[in-house]
Amino acid sequence: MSRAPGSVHTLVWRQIRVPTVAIAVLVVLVVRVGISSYSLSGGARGMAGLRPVIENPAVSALYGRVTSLHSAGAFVEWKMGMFVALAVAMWAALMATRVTRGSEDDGTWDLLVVSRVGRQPALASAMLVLFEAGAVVGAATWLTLLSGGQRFSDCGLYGIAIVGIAWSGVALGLLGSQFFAPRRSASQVALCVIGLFFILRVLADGSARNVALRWVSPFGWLENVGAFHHREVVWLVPLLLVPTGTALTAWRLQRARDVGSAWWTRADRSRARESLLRTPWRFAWRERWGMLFAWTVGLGVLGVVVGYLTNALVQLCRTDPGYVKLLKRWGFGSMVTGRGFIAEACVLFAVALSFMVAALLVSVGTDSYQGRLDLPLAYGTSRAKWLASGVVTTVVATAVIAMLCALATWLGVLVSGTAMGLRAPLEGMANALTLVPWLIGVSILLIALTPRFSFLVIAMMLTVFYIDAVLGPIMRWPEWLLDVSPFFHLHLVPVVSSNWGATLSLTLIGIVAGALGFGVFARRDVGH
Amino acid sequence: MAHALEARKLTKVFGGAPAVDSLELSVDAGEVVGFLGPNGAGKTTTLRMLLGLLRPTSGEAMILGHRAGTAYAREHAAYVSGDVSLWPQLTGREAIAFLGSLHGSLDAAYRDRLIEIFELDPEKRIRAYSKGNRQKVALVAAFATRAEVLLLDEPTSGLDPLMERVFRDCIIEAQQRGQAVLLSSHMISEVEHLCGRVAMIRSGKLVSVADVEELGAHVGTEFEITGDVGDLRGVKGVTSVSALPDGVRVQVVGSPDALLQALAKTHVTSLRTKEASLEEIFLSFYDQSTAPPS
Repeated sequence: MSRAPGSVHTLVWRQIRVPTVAIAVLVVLVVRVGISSYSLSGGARGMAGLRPVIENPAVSALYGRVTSLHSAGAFVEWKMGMFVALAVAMWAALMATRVTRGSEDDGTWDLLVVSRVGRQPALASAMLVLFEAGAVVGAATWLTLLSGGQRFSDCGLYGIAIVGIAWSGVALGLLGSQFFAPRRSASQVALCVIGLFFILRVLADGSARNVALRWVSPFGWLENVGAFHHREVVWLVPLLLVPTGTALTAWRLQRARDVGSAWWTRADRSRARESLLRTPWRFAWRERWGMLFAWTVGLGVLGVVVGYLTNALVQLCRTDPGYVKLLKRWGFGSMVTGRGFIAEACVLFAVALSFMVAALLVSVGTDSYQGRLDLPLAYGTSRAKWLASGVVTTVVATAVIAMLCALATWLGVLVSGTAMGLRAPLEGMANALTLVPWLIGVSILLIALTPRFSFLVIAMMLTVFYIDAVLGPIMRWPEWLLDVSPFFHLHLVPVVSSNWGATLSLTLIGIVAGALGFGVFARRDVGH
Repeated sequence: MAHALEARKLTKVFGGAPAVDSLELSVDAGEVVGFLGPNGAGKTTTLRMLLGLLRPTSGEAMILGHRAGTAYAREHAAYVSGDVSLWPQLTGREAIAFLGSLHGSLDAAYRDRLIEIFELDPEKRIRAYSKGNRQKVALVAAFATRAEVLLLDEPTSGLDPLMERVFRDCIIEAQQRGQAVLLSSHMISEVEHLCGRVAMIRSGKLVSVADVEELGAHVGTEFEITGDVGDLRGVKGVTSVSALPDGVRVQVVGSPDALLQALAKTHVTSLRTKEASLEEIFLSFYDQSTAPPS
């Protein structure tokens, strides 16, 4: 006779094994690249000159506060650590909402609840699997650092800290699933909270006055652990216990609510608002309204924070000519001015906007494989029109949000006391938009070919391209490998003019991929 | 004149295995045709090809003489699936309005009447509806469009018996208005009540399309005879004989003339006949031990 909770354990692992392997591979790749780039840059001696850079508040805000880069592990923790942690936390939250709220949405949770497994043991099994998956990612980090010649105990400490970050994401996903339905809402709330924790850490590292904010964010705890720096093991306690306690709270909260329901629900009844229902074009806005609002708020807050940090960097450059020289030597030359810093920030915004474009577009694929397109297509609209309405909405919304983000960045700059016109962030964000035609074309093709996995594939592709663009030049990768990444061709506007040649080439690739994608989508079987 | 709906040698192959194989079927205006078959027989695949949601591997699916999936075909057809999936944040009224807008026409007065007779609360969000109520949303939208062709795939799944009766009234009204209906259903009584013709599909192949009476002739007529009638096996047309306490039950396919002549030579105290119900016809068609009727 089989053990029922064991069956749930296996079932949940089957649900999350592919994304778990994907995030583990990504972490291994990033850490490996970091170790190699440290060695190529001359190791500890080569990094010694970077001290003024890592002590700069603006750089600290982006990468975290460290005191030295004496080992490859310390370099990885500083240069990649925060972004690895952010990616791991987001992945963990999405997995948690998938196996809990997602299963309640599609009714599979009902089968577990009425079976001899029971509701609470089923959730306990799912939680165990999610925590195990977090441990797998932590172990992958640990082993990769260890294989790079780092100290066993330091690698172990950092690996455990990454496990804590993954568990934090899991806990937020579990908690979101108790309070919100459907899964999309639970995921959005969990991701927003993760974003908020990240911004708290950015603010904490951006100014000595805000240091206390680090104590209330898992990303701050990770930094406080300082596995390759100061090694404060005590910070593992909140990093591991708070998510465990939060997960247990979610477990108890589930017991006190109905299956399929959530603690916070919008009213089940509502007055009909039909103005955005008259055509697929209008409906595309209505369908994405919540997502657009969340992205606008998220990128707006990030813009203000980044803009606010500009002054700290500019002041340092004004008072220390040697520091400017050093920045130029280490490839941060463009950051010596406010405009340069904004140009660098706009490349980061280009990455964020790319993820937003993917998230907005893939709902076409989601609608298709979840059967929601059946009735609209049977009632008169065509696949091409449905896809086109999603594309137009995405293009217009991305342009508007990019400009709002530029405005928010400029407001941050103004508040920080730096003299800069609105034109600089506007030009920088407009330059970030030059990647949109390429990304939309490629996304359409992926949605047409594999609607179910399109977002995963696009997200992996963007991450790999960004790593390629950022670390490729440092590691002296072959020219052709750098050329593959669209982010590599993004010039630092407004410091220099846009790379119009690359923009044209990427746009042409986008048009060809998009046309192919439209053709495939128009001919593919709906629901398959 | 073109049929309202027509499948010509319609074939769909999934992963090398045919889900629908050379299916030939037509439905004319003002006709309600039942579409029966066991699970996995290919009913939904056929309907989805007729809607243009699936591309046929070969053959053609036509709506009012136009290829399925074209703008004309979409504008003149409406669909109800057995498991309605819509955006959970929309209310019922919004979902009906949206589908009506896509279709291009919606009889608002009829929509309101349908909402009333189906006892649907249209201000509720889709996520708050039960399966039956989601089904009602799709039914209201389909009927209110007054589309010339209605493709209904298990449309009453989840509806209570009272609502099933309302559904039947709507189908009768649609038929009287000249709308063509292809009704895929597991509810044989529903098909028997509503449909003039029935198409039966098994393993992707159409095994029969005929009037209900005509189908009955394939299965035959049942005779319950009391008295001392002797051995009737071997009489022309008799397909089975089973014993009763005071007589026999005989199944006859085709003319009962030979049986009656045989009985005339015996002592019969009573004789009752019973036409096969559609359920019996269905079971006889899908009984794996029985070869499909030609």
